[in-house]
Amino acid sequence: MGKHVYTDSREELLSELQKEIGKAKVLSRTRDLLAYDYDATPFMNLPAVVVLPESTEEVSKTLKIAAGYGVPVTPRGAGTSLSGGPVPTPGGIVMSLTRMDKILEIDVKNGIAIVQPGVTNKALQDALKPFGYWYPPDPASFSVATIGGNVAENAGGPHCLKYGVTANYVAGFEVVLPPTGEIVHLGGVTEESPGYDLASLFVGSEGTMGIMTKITVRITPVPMATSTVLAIFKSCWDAATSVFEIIKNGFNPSVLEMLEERMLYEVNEVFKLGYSEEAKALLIIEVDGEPEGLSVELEGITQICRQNNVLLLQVANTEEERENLWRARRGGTSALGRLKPDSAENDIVVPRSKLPEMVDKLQEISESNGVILGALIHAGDGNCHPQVPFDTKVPGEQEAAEHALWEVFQSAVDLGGTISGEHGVGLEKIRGMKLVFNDDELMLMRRLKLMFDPEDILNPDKIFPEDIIIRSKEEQHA
Amino acid sequence: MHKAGSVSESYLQQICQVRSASETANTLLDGFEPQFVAEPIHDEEAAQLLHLANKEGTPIAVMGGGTSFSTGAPLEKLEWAISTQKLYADPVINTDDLLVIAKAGVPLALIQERLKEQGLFLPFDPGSKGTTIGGALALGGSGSHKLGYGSIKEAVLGMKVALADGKIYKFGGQTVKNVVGYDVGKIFVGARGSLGIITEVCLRVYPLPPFSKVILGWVENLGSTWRIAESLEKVRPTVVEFYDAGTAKEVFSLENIPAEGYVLLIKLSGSEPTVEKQWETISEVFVENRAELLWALDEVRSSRSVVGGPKFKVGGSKFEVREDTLWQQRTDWLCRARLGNDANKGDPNYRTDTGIKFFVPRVASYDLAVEIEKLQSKCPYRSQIMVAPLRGLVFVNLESSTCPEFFIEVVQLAKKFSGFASLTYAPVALRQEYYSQQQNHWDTRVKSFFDSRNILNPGKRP
Repeated sequence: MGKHVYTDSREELLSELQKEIGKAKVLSRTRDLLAYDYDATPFMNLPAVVVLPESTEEVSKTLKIAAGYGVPVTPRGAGTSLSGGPVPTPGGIVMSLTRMDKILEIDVKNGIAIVQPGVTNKALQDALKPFGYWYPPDPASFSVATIGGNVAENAGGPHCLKYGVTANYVAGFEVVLPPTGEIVHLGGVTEESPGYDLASLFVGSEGTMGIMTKITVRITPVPMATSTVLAIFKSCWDAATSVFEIIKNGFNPSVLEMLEERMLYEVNEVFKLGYSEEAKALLIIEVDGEPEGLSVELEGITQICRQNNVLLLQVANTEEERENLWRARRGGTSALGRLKPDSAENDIVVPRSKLPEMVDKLQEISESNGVILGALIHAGDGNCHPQVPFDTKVPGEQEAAEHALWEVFQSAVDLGGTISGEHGVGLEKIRGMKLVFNDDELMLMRRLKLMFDPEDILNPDKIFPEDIIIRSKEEQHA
Repeated sequence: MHKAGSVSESYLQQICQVRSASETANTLLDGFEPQFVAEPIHDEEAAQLLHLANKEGTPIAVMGGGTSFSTGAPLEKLEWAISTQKLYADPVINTDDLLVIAKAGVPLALIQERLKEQGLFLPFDPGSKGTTIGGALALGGSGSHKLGYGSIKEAVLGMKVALADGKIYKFGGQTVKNVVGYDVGKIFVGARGSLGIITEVCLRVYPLPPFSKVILGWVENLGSTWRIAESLEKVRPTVVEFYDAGTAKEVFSLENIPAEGYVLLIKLSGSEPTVEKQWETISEVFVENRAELLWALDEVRSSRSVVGGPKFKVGGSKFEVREDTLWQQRTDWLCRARLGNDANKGDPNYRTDTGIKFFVPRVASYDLAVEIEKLQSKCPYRSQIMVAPLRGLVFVNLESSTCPEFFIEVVQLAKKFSGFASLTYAPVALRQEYYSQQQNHWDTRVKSFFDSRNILNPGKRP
């Protein structure tokens, strides 16, 4: 977008925000703004102002003021997004929700917790532990990522294979809508709510429709026991085949993660795990539930691995052993990322049965583009994180990385999958939207966005291709 | 030729097959008779029909098998109808990815039958005879197996819908994880056909559990049922429901059980050691609460065995009992009274039951059930009650619709317990009055977004 017309009124905007929200909660010095201009992608834009509201009323006032000036607003949690979602619209307002960090209620009898959007996933998990409960969506960034951000992106995590994604755990929320700052309650504590399911629209809407200020999430008793097994394979094909056969045969692992060949190689190098040269793929598999049932599950799963030429099976018998088995999985991104100063990744998803083909395709794309490409895979869901390290100082490397990842998008869609399983579209995947949707579908979604945000101030530059944004605005003003 | 508004039957016949008035004489939709029923066989035909109705401003009904049409908020007006029953093709089952792709007109029972042949199933309750998958999704809700498998909506991976602009839209896909764009498809689930026509759906399916145990038990009082349910949460049952004894006797054909008290229906599923461990815990809970086991059925994927005592039978000879019979009996009870409301309006003996579904915070479900029982004394007609305490669901069937004071007081209870009530089945006038008070402005805006002329199942909404 890059339009800066609204920044002409920056001083008046600043003054009004300071008056209504309080000077201490409104930042305008460049050195402060720089702390909010980024996320975990290479995208960066400087905002005009950062607002740090501490209540629903302050969120409402901010949105109303922003709408009055026609200034875009980007809601922000911890900024750990991998799609550019919290990156500000240039010259707009960042609304950081990290100060709204209270756990308002934990109600185990009703199986819910009510939190403000700035509560981190980890803080919620820690608060639930004494009750013997947990909140299953556990993205890798859980120690810093906020629940508000998780809901905005419909975050997943390793345990979503068995337990579901964020959308399965959001019971309801309080949301503030522009341009009037209207406060609306959607969903609730009950299993069903009256009226159309608007809550489903907002979850995963990437901060483009409204700003959630209270979120009711479902919580569940922690599993009674967990068993972990690591499996090393001679080929990615065998590992990927094992994955879909495990699920197809009715086993219900809580975690099923895979490192493909390149990723495994780097992890083995960095962490000195001692896997032989024959090791081309690794699976981490966990089962949980009643202790009596775990051995039956594990036995069935390991049998499938054996049928698919497994090289090595290691079962963790203690928590320490379990942590050791997870080292490879946890170290993947940094092990590959150390090779170059920068890296790009995406999070395509394919039907599980297409995983073997997709993994082979990743290797093909790596070779044909002359890039290093490794992937960490939430294999049970078919959700791959191909990662391509590059050096911006080497001419052509960034372009080659981006081209390779574009081919990954195309391959995923060709195999019946889609371009994002958990990171969201943000800025990064706008170009890929037309691989998934036709113009009519994009226009319908854009109109829905404008129904809730008629002034188009919430993250106006996210998700949709520019031609769709322009067409929708022309239609709106016609 | 019949003409409805400015749309003639002959014009529609250029688009698709049409059943005329004489053929639709017994089709009652919330008390309205459609002048004719269009039966598209392709998605594009459905879209064309919608576009035409929208252009002309003619109010139309969209129905699947019509088995649950006359429930919930009623139609306000009607000229002709679209039936999706002929949007049909053999369901495509993908056993590798555990999904099924089905056109809206495919009967739910057929899908389940085909899935079972592959050792799979959809965690939906059986519908009535004729229930289509499109109709089941339009009705929405959560079935008996919600605790174990989530709601109907959560099984939807992707769908195609025909909208009033005459176009077909596709949302979602074939993967469980998908965060590309907005989750628009979900808004059509439970929307009662008031926003668009679901023409095709991709659903997540599950392997039949290797082992399952279904249990019927009896307890003396309501308090015991709640204590048992609370104790069961950590066991993670797939189903926990209780019924007043009179209702259970009727629903499950139980003989020789006490006239008072409550019957518990519990289902466990998973690996055999897991289920047996869960059962061990439940048995202890039963003993602590002086509950009595009436009947238990073990089902292994390749065989089955029945465990039972001599003093009861379910559905006839216990050796003929199958687990799916029990769920069909449950559905038949939930649906049976509905068919009495409008279908038999000439019959003086037809039932005019009223079905009310409450959703409350689950900890309130016991208190709500207690209050409903207390109110029973104000009404000479019997009420039947089913409670799913871990879901916060209470279902009440009043064997009459002519007890307004009881009805009003019962419905007010929903607010008292911070929940809400929906009328599943009731005479049209009662549903009209009830639902006229229920709408909020965002629902109106969403309806207007998809159906600006209010021609699509006008009046119907979740």
